[in-house]
Amino acid sequence: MNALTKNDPHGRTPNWCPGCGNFGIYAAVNQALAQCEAKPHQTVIVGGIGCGANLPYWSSTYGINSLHGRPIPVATGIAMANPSLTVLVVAGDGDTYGIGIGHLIHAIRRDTKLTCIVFNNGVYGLTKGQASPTAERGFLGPSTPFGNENPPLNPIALAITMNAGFVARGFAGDIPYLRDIIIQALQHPGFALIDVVQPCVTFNKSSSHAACQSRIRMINESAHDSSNQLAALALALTNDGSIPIGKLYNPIKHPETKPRTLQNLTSVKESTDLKNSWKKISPI
Amino acid sequence: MPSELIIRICGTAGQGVDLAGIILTNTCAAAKFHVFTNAEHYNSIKGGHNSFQLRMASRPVWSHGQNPHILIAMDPWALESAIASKAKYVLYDLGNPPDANSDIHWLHIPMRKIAQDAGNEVMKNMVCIGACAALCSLPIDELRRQISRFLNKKNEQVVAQNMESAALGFAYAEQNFPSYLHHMSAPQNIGPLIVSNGNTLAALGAIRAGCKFVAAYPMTPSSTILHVMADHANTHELSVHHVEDEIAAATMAIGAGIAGARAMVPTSGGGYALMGEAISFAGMIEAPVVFFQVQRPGPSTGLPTRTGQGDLRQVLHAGQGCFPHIILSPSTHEECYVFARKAFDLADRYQCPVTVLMEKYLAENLASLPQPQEPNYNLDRGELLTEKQLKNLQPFRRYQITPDGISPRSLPGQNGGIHTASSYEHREDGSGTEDPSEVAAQNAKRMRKMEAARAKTPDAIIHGSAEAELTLICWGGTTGAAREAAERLTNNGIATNCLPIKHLSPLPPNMQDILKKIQRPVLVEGNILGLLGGLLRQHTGIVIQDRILDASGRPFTADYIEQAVHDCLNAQSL
Repeated sequence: MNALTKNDPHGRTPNWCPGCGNFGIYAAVNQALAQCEAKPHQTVIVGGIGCGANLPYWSSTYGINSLHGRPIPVATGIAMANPSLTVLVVAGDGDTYGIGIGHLIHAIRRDTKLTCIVFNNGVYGLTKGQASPTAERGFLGPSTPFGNENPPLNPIALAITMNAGFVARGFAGDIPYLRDIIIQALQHPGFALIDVVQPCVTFNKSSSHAACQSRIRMINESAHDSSNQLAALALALTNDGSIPIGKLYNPIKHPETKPRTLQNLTSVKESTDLKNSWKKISPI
Repeated sequence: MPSELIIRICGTAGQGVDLAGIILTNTCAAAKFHVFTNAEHYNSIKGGHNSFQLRMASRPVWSHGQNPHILIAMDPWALESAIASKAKYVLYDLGNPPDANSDIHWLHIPMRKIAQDAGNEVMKNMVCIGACAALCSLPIDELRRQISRFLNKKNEQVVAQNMESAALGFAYAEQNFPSYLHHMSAPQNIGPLIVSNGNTLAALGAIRAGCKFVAAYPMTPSSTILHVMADHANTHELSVHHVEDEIAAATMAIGAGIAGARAMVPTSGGGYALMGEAISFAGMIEAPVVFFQVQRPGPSTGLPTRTGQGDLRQVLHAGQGCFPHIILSPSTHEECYVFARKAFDLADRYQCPVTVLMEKYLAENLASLPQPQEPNYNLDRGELLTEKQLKNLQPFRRYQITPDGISPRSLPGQNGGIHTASSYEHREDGSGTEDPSEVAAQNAKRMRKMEAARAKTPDAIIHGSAEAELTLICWGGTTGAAREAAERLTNNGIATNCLPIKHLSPLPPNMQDILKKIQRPVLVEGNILGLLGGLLRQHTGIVIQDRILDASGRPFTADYIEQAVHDCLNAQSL
């Protein structure tokens, strides 16, 4: 095996651009996991395809670099096969709100225990700067040189409307705050969505670190009832230019709505008996 | 005494043609006859014309036959089609028999009235099979038992009325058509029989192999696999999921496979097409996963309820890039069970996607077969490391270069087995690489697994005598009709045998040798391009000139193949 150097683009430290918001998210994830009960070998981080989605390469846990738009179903299969694992998804806004949005919607319905962290920078960074589903109207990029024609979708409002069990937003520039949200999400017994606002210093100049910083507003936890769907939706639909961050929605769900706990499916060593099945298709 | 009888029930969708056929089929099997069936449906829930053909015989049969001896015409359209069907006896109610052909015995039976008398006109399908049972000398008691067996979800009164309808139909036929009764001697000494279709058998094979995770999106004609697995979810602790789309199904199953569960995805051609990227993903990260691709004719939506073999190349070339992909092609009902079971062992051993390629003909049609006896079957879970072994393998290299290409694997949850499984090209330890020699080494390692698999792939075997003038080369659901055609041709003076190809990737190691020894190969396939022929030419250089190809959406019959062979021979001698 070749020796890895610090400058190796596929080495042991991330290859993101200096100043990238991914570094903040990476730090928050690592700090949150360090406080989590699960050991690294009991944790799986599933990435999609994208700059931030490459995070598994640089984690000390089991990692999967899966397919663009598909980390959620891959993670779902892992979590269902072995419910004792702690499973996270790290993916971009293109991954999760574009190509993979069908999977997001149905993951909310399935409510499998996953922590889904979306690196939301309003752009497709790895493919050099195209508008993503959360890019503003008018965004100029290689595939929209005359301005993006479509308004951004609102994934937080979507998740709240669907009564997702845990919906939060963070900011890559506030690592401790994001860390605490991730810790709560890891403890949530179902599907948890954390949308993380971040700049892309290379391709989204209109959404710089400073610009993000000026727009974010921490939710006042004593003023906001996070178990109230309509209140959460109102926050999510804020349209005065500010971006509320924090835990928007975390309803108390009745036990019946929790997903059925399955046993570990991975340890099969012997073949299964089919006596009754043969009887059922015997004509005699 | 005839050695076989072919019965075809025809009616409008919604008239209970299928149920009648299933009950009659099981009655024959219970009376110890071998059975093989073919059901044809139009692609609609109500309306459209359906038929159920049942071939019952005193020796094993491998296809549904061609022309029925007895045609049951439940609607006027079926009556119109009677002459074309070349039936000898036609049971009918409404309408007037087309009087052109006096060879046909038109047997009128007031099925609606009899059913009404028994309780409900809708049970005329039972009247029909009652009458038919009398004509075939099947025991009425057995027919009643099968009715009760298949209607066990209905209330007692309904079941009784159905039985009464059948009994009245039976009595009517006995009284009114006494000279048309057939007697067939049932075979002796046949062991426990089951009656099932390829999809059900594939699902059972999967369960037997310890498959625990199913993710699927329903698609005709594969949905039965999903439904059978779902039915077994509680009794066999399966995790069965009807998910939002085929890509979710494939990627979820791969996730389960990464975690160490045996996982499968049933689908058909259109769904499999959507899964291409995921299949390549499984090949790249070396995750075990089993796909069942149950073909129907394409292209595109095509003919959802018919049969075809047009997807061979789709499956061979699924997904981008070159990676190991094992493809099995069962050619009998029993092989649907055995190959499904085997697929999971292959997926675990070679850590790659495995596809079992089937088609509607075997998958959805019922046939009788001996219940599989499996005295020495043990699972092969492949090269799975224990935590103890991992302790001595630090730093752990999940994609270690090995002579046979198989790298022992760890499962998430195991201490000492941490690695990244990346869809990007990677080094031995899983980290990403673009270094040319590392890339080349991993590609070579992965493809070496195919060589290892090929060495263990069973040889192709000829059905029939080793020496023959002609050899019918076939695969999948076409095999049954082909082997019967070979027998008939031989009995009529043209020595013919049959070579079914059951392993499409890798091909059997003796492929070249066996083809070279064949005097005159004749390709028989259910697609317009002769796809198997192309594959064999690619791998052996041998070109098969005579080709019997059909893309009509209907299954081959031995009669059709026999005639087509004569056409080939005549064409040559012109």
